[in-house]
Amino acid sequence: MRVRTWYVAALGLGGLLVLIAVSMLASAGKAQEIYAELDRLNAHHQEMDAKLRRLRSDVNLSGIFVRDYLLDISREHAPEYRERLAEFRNTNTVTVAELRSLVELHHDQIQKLEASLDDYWATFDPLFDWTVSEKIFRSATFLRQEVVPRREAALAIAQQIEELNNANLAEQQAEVTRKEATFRSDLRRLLWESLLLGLVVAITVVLRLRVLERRSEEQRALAEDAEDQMRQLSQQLVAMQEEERKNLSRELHDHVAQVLTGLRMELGRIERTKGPVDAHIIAAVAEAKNLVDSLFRTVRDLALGLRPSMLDDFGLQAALEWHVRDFIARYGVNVELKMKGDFSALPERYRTCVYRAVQEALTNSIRHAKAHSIEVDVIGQGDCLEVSVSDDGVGIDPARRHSGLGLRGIEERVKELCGTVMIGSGPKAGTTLAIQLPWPGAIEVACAPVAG
Amino acid sequence: MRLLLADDHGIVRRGLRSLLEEEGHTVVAEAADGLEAVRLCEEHRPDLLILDIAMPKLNGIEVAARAQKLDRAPGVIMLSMHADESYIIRALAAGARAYLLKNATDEDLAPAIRAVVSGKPFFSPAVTAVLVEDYMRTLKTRGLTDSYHLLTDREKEVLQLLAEGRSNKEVATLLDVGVSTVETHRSNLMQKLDLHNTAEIVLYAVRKGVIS
Repeated sequence: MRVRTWYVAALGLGGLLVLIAVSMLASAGKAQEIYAELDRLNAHHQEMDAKLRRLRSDVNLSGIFVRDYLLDISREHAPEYRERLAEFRNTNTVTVAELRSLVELHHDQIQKLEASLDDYWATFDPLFDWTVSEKIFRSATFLRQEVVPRREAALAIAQQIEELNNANLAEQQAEVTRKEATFRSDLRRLLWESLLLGLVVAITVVLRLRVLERRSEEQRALAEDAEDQMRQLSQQLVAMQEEERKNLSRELHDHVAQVLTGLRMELGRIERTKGPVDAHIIAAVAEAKNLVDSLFRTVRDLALGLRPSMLDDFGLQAALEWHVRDFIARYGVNVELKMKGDFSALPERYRTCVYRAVQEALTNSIRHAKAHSIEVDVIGQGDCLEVSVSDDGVGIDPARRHSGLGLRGIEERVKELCGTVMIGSGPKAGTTLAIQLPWPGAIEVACAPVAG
Repeated sequence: MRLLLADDHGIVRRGLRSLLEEEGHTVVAEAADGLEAVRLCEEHRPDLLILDIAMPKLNGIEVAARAQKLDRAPGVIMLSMHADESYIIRALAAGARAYLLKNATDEDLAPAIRAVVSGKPFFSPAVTAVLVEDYMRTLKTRGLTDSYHLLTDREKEVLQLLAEGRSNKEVATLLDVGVSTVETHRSNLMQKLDLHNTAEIVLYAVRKGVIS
C-alpha cells in the first residue's frame, strides 16, 4: 500500500501547532493567576498591618488622653473626656471586628486581644467618678499599676498578631513560589515535548521528501529517456521514409519507366511493320501506345512526387524551382521563390530537409490556410541557412501545430541538423514557417549527432 | 551516319538500335554508363551522340558537355523522361541540339537526327509546350518589352553562335576578331538582355527562335 505522507505530515504539524497554542494560552493564564495571588496576598497583609497600626495608635493615644484627664484638676471637662474615650473605645472595637474578618486563622489570638482590650477600657470606667483630690493622689499609682500593665498586655498581643500575620505572608509567598516552580517545570516539559514532536515530524517529512524527490528525479530521467528514444525513432522514421521514397522513385524511374519506353518502341515497331496488317491491329496498337503514354506520365509524376530527381541531379535550387512551377500549375496560386546564395555544394541531408520543409509548408498553406499568395525565401549566407515560407492565409491553429505529422517531420529533420523551426504570424498576417540551419561544416562541432 | 548510343537500360538500347538500323544508321558503340560513353566517344569519334540523361557514374548532360570539348564535336540528341525546364535548359547549355521525351522516341528520333544533322534544334512536342509555357511566363514577369532590338548586329551574331554551343574562342575564329572582343560583346549582350549564364543565353535564343 502506498503511504500517504502528506496525511501524516499534516497531522503532525497540526498537532504541533495545537500543542504550542494550548501551552501558550495555558501558561499565560497560569502566570496571570500567580501574579493575582501575589497581589492579593500583599494587599491582605498591608491591610492587616494598617489595622494593627491603627489599633496600637488608638491604644497609645487613649493612654495619653487619660493622663491628660488625670492632670486636669477641674471637673467640668469630665463628661467631655468620657465621651472622647468612649469614641476611642468604639473605634477600637470596630478595628478589632475588622481584624477578625481579615484573619482566617488564629481567631483565639483575636479573642485574647479583644478580652485584653475590654479589660483595658474597663479600667477607665471608675476614673470619671473620681474627685479632684482623688485624681491628685491616686492618678500616678493608678496609671502605673492599672493602665500601663494592661496597655502593655494588649500591645503585646497586637504584636503577636502582627508577627503571625508576617509569618502567614511568608508562608503563603512560599506557596506561590512553589506553584510558580511547578508551572515552570510544566512549561519546560511542554517545550521539550513540542520540540520532540517537531523533530519527529521534521525528520519524517524530510525523509519522505527525499524519497519523493529521488523518485521524481527517476521519473524525469525515464521521461527524458523515453523522449530521446521517441526522437530517435521519429528521426529514424523520417529517414526511413525518405529512403523508401528515394528507392521507390528510383525504381519507378529506372525500371518501370524504361520498360515502358521499351514497350513503346516495340509497339512502334509493330506499327511500322510492312505488309498487309489488319485494321483492328493497327487500332489496337495505337490504343496500346496511348495507354503506355498515359502510364508513362503517371509513373513519371509519381516518381517526381515521391522525390524529385532534380534534387539529386541538380541540387536544391533546381528542385525548388521545379516544385514551385509544378505547385503553381497545380493549384493556380501565386508563389514567389527567392533564393540567395550558392547551394550547389549543399549535402544531401540539407537539400532534403529544406526541400521537404518548403514542400510541407506550401501544402499546408493551400490545404489548411487557404492562401492565395505565398513567398518562399531561401538564404544561404555566412554560416547560416535560412528558409522562410510566408502565406496570406487564415493562419495556423496552434492546437494543430504539434499534431500534424508533416510539421513534426520537418521539426525532426531540422533538429537532426541542429536547426530551429518557428511557426508564427508573418508579414502577410497569414502563417510563416521559418527555419534556421547552421551551414554544414560547423555542424560536427556545433552538435553531436543523435545515435541510431 | 555514325552514332553512339548511351543508355543504362538494355531494353531501351535494343529498341533504339533497331529503330536506328531501320533508318539505315550505323551504331558504332553502345555505352551503359556515362563514363563509358565518354571513353567510347573519344575512341570512335561518332557524328552523333544519343544520350540518356539519367545514367550511372556520369549523367548525359555531363557527357554532352565533355563531348563538346572535343575537336570535332559530335551533335547531341538528349533523351529524358522529364519534360521540365531544369533538364531542358541544362541539356541545351551542355550542347544538346535535340531533346526528346523517352516515350516519344520512336516517333521523334528520325526527325530529330535529320534536324541536328542540318544544324537545327529539335524538341518533342511536349518539350516545345514546356518551352512555350516558360516563354509566356517570362513575358508576363518581364513585361512585353524585349531588349533584342537593343543588340548591335555583331552582338546578335555572337548571341547566335554562343547559343549554338560554341566557345568564345570558336566565335572569335568564326567572326575573325579577338577573344577579348567576343568576351566584351558577350558581357554587353548579357547585360542588355538580363541574362546571367550560358544556359540562359541558350534558352533565350531558343525562345527568340534565333537558333530554330
